[in-house]
Amino acid sequence: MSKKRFDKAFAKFIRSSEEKITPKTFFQVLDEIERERAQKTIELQARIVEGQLQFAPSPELSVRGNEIWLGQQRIVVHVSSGD
Amino acid sequence: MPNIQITLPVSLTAPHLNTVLKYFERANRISPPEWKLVFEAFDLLGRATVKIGRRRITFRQFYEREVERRYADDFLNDLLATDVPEAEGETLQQKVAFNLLTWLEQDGLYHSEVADSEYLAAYCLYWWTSFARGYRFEVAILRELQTAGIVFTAHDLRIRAERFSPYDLVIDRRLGDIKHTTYFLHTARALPLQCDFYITRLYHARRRRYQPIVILTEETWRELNGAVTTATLETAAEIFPAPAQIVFQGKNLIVVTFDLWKERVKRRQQKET
Repeated sequence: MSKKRFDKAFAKFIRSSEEKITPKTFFQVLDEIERERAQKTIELQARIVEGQLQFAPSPELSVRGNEIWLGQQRIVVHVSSGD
Repeated sequence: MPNIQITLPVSLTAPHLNTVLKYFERANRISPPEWKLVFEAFDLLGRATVKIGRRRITFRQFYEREVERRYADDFLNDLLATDVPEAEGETLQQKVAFNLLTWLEQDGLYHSEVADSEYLAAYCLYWWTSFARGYRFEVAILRELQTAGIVFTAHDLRIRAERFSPYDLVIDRRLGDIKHTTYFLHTARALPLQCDFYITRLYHARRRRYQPIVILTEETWRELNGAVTTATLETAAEIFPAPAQIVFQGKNLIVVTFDLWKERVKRRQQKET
């Protein structure tokens, strides 16, 4: 790419005050990027026992009761009443 | 002139680089798949490196240490001294952008004989524009609050450390932030919202223009009082000036026009004095 072409492009960009992208397109594109970044999907099964979430054993993640261990993180999932 | 070498990440492909140029040449002709390449490209360019003599740093480090530190403080001081921050700020922004490119050229960092140096210039220009636009909006908003006679305290933009504070201003003990776009709602899907209100802009698709709005937590809105109408962020502008209640990440947020919010805040402050 020639420097002259970039010089011209930069000057045009600097002088233009118009918005470059609509928010709708912006968020659609970000959503797609995020979906692609999730390289692997792990599905867990769970049921509610006496008001508490109970994960079924998984071969892919370490789970116990309502807890998930992922790397150095312990993720605790609470069930809310939705009020 | 020191020896300068640019190294781009291998994951930055030819299509990425082509769309970087297209972004500067004719952004209004970029398709949604190309926008994806644009965002990925500027993200990846942050990890590209520039070697100056024996020192090697990433583009991101270069921008933060060389560009922002060189231009930000003076720009913000000049911006704060303008009468019309958005309009006059645009002229200041453009002046710095041209000076930035001239400096990069003079120091051999944007040079026809330094391969890929145009991408260092592109990266710096992209982030400079984002920085300047954001602060033009913020200063314009703060100026409007002053003109409206609203009592508030704001961080001092002239002090670099304060620019990184988690909130921009406090009104009646409520923490507020000023955001040029609603992009913060996207990042809030991973990191929860920390402020009580956000002054930002909403795009009115039918009128094809932006409108200043305020997004508040329910508790913060309750202090200002008023009936709300259920809507979504996409439909809120259609029911303005009526306040809209939207659901975001399972919580209710209130969306109102900036003018309505200012009116309610002023009224409340006058009642309390």
